[in-house]
Amino acid sequence: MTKRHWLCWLILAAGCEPYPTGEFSAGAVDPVNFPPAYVGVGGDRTRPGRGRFTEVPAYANGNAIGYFSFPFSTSQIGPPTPPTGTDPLRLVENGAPYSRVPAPVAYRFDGSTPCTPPKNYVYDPRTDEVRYDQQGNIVTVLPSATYPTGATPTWSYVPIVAERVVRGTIDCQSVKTETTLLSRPDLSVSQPTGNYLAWAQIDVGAGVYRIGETPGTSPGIFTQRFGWYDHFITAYIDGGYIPTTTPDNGQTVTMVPQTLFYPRSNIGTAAGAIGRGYDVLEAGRNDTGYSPVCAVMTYDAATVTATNPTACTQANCLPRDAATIRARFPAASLRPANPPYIFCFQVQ
Amino acid sequence: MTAMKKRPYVLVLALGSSTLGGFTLALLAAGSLLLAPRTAHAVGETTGRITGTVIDANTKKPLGGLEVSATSPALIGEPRSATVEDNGAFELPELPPGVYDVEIGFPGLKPLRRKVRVRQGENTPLNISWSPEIEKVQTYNVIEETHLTHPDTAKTGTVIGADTEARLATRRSYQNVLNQVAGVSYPTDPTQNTIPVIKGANRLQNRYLVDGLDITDSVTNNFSTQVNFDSIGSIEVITGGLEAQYNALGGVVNLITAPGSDKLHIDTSFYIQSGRFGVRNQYGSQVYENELPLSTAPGVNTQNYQANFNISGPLIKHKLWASIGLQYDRIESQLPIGPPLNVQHPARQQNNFFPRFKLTWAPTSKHRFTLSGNSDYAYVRNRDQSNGELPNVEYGQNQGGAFGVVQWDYFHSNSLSTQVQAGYNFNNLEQRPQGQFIGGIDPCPKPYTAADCAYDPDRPRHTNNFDGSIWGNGIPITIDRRHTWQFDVSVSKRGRAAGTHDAKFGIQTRFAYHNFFRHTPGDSFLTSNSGQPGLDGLCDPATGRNCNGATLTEAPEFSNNQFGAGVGAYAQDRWRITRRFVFLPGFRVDWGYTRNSLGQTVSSLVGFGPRFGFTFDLTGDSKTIFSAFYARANETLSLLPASRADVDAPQRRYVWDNTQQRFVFQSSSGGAAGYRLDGQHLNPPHDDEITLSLTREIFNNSIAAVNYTYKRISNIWDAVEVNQVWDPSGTRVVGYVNGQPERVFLYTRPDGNYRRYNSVDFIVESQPTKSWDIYAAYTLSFLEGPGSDTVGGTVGGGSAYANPRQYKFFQSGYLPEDQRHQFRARVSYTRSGFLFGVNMNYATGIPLSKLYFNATDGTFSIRRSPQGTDPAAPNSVGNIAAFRTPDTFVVNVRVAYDFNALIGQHLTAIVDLFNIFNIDTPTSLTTLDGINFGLANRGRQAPFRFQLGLRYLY
Repeated sequence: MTKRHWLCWLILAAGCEPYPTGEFSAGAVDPVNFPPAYVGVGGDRTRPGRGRFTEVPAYANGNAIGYFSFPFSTSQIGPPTPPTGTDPLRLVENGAPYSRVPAPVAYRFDGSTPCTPPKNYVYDPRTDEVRYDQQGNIVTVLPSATYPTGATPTWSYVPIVAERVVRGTIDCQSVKTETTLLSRPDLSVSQPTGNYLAWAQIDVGAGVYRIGETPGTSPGIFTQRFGWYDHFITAYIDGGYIPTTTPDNGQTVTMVPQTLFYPRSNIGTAAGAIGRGYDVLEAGRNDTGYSPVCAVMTYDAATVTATNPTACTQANCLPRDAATIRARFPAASLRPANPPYIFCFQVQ
Repeated sequence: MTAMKKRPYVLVLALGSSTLGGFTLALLAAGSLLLAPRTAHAVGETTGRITGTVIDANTKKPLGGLEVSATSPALIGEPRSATVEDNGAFELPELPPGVYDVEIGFPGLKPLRRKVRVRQGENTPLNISWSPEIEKVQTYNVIEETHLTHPDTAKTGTVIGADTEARLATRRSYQNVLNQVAGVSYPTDPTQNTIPVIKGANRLQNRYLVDGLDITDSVTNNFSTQVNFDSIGSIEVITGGLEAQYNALGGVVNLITAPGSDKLHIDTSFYIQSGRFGVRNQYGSQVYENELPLSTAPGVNTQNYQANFNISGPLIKHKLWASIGLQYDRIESQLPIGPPLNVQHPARQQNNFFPRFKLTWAPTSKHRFTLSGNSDYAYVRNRDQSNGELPNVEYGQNQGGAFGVVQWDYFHSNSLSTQVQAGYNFNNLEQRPQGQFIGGIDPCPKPYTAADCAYDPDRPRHTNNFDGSIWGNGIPITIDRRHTWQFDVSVSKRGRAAGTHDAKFGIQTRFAYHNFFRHTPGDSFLTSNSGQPGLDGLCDPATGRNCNGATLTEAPEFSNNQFGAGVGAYAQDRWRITRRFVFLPGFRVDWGYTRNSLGQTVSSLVGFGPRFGFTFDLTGDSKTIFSAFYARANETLSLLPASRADVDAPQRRYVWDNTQQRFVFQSSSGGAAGYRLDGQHLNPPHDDEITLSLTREIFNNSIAAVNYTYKRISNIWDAVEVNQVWDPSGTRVVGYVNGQPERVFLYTRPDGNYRRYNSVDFIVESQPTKSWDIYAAYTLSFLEGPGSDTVGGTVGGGSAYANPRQYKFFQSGYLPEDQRHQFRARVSYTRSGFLFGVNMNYATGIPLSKLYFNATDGTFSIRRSPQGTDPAAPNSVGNIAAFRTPDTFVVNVRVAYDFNALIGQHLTAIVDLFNIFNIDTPTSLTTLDGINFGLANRGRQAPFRFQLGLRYLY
């Protein structure tokens, strides 16, 4: 019973405030304005929960890996055509955020001091919408696209956030808004660290599946992470830190991509294409040179004739590491793909 | 000096005789009654009483020893009399409602006479300042008095008499006229006004009594019986301050039919409201749009016809009265054209047959027997009335039943009386597709073809979730039969012990049986979610067209039955400690038991309901009364949860798989594995209510009152799904607790399932002369909490607890019955045969909740903001907006003339004018996310129309 309710009763029918106050959960984010790629394959922004995100099988340094693919925004590279004068990898220009590639602030609880769960708390996935033995990170902007009638949607959202770090001891999930976070005297909130995180916010109801998982074998809720946006639960795929370069002492900040290769020639009878299982990335998530941003290159693999080209290592087989591609295929055969960049999130 | 003082107390029924004196004995006797099993119902008070004091006009001291007697045409048998006690107090209890001539005086002297109106369930205070000198100047030209201050009860509400209803233009049903009482509204039924909501309870939490019999439906807890309107004697509507003999979470509607009299009376009438007697517009679908002036579509068809015949009189004068009657109604109503189909839906047609009889037998002055019977058969064509259906999707309904009740009143003395009552009530409700029903289906509206409207009994219902249209078939065939038996005994004891007492003790028993059958056309139903409207958006499983997101549910035929029993015991005293102060202690204990078809105990609940309060006569003249009352009522017997927590046919649900191009199994529900029973929590649904009231008699037969009500209804029944594991958004099931893909509902009474209500009523009620009848009330109220439902009974099969992601934030907010402001008034005036009556009602709109599609269950079951709101803009709590229907306002007028002065007979011509300002406010808006969101979809206030009537009274 709050003081306000007592007061309400004392003044008889003054209309007790029936709505929750404080750090309440307002349920999941509504993806109705999300760009198509963030609703998932088969998804419908007006029918949340139908979409799926499935990890793409690939190789890095000879090892089987997987990544989640998201396109660059239409304001970065189109379609229909790349906006003139745009650097799709730029994050800061003239010391200010680059408007065509917005990277809003997000607050990351660094976990150096664990949050305090409710006494005797045991996570019950039936009743608990989020885990109350964890504290979700806070984002400040949601994906958004424009859906003109009869035309393809456009958007400027990119799955990148500028990191601010939060330290302190709090009750788990007791902070659900930026406003509260910044007003809590017991929390230490850093200024933007200069680091950028690859967080792709997706439909909270969409299933996310690693390689080998299917909706029949996995609930699809263990790969993505859950945080908060202004009382709402948000879900994101965490692609880790984005390497950047600042050649002019912070006046310009540019993302450093790694390269993703795929064969453009036929593999067997099927045309080569990205995401068919033949993709090779320069670095895995824990490798030096990892980036969740990929510059996409294609190569001509006409010499590959093995019937099962990824299951062998001979010369007629597909390569599984970037060094081999560069060595076996002349630079002249390497061409930028269209689109030339994608987000290629490898998750922990 | 008085007879009461000289006699020892005798509690005939409970103890036979007693050697103990004093009022304590009666309480002990009540306690012994409570050792028996207990229940939860109500027996209606069918009588009123007169109490008062006589003081010496000169000395202002009490006068004892005077004789008081009362006679009335409503009183069968001998006049009722009492002797004024030495403290000046007297009481004439157990008086049938009516106008009484009261005589007070010493034997052999010319008496003082007063004429007072006694209303059912109420005490009529009659304080007299008397002296032999006054006696000498007393004339016989006495004026009827109607004292309304209720000096010894904290009940709120009022009594609506037949004479009042004869002055007003109404829909002529007892449910409809309840709207004239402060605290009663029809928020979920704004066009028909048949299912009242009383003081914050939901529409399934009231109790309905007819001639003392509890006719509340044992399953739905709604009223189960219609009653011939002209046979109604009066209706007591108790909205709060329920004394112990009543047990309701909401209000009590206590109706008694007219008993007859020692004179022959005939009351016959005919009312006609043709379709040509009013405005027949079509309307735009936006809230801001009104009539369509250039539309060539036929206007909405609304017409009613009603015929009544009632005859009553003595079979044996002063001993045996009879009253019989019949009412027939033909009612047609229709929706304006609206989305999603935008074609004229066929009219609803209802035919009612309401016969009834009542026998009243008073073999001696100490005994009165009453036998009352009633039937209410009706059939309804095109019952559903939805603009999302063609005529072949409509359904028809056979409904009705009968009840009989016998009551024995034994008046041992003015200090002791008993009542025994037994009754039986049967109800039948049968619903079938219109294609199988009387009259068949209506013609197909253009541009649809006969093929679109063809009826196939085996074709499954197919719902297009994009626009809400329904195709193929409508509801399943259901046959629903309910039986209830009631047996009640009560003892009323009046006496003195540290003041005066007027106590009542009783036991109430009730047995209920319910049988249910369901057959779904095609044993299945489908939903499509293709994003295309209408017929073209339906999934075709043969080709896979439009099938992405479609669902198929197999629903085999089944039947089941449930049984319930309950006993309640109560004791309630009105303990007048001083002349001004009355303490009202009481309590009741209820036990209820229900079982399902398998013999499993669904509930076995015990509830203790204390009732206590007081009234204080601030001015000492019974004209300014302050009262306070606390009451707890417990609902221990309802077959609604048992009817849900029972074996039915398991429903298997399939979803369309684009890869396999067929429906694949997703989950099941129902069957023996579909429910669980809660044997852990024993809290019955209950309400705690505090009522404060200040009433002042402002002038002759007129009061002004202010009532405050706080009410919390807790532990409301609901079905909690306990097996599905949802993703954090609540749109996708990601696992099952028991590993089986099935829905399992635990039938329980969650602690968090409550409703909270605060209100203030400002009331003026006045009958200053026989010509005027005035009632006006303004109510400010707030109703909130998560308890919007009772096991799907108020929202149509779903459950607020079906999805745990929809708790908390989404269940907060104002409840669907919340109406912030209501103003109602009735004013009538009659003179020289002319009658002019006006009744009006203004009510603010009701909260609605925008619903979003849930991909898992294939329905619109997701909220993105609290109940009663619309998110307005996605993902912005600051933009969440209250979402309500527009305010409604209606004024009806009756003009009538009684030709008695011209022809010597009471032949009355009546003209009723309904909605005289022709206000066409939408009463329902589309709440589903999509292209039709926010549009007026299921009707508006009925437009202006008039009704002609002719009534003959003999």
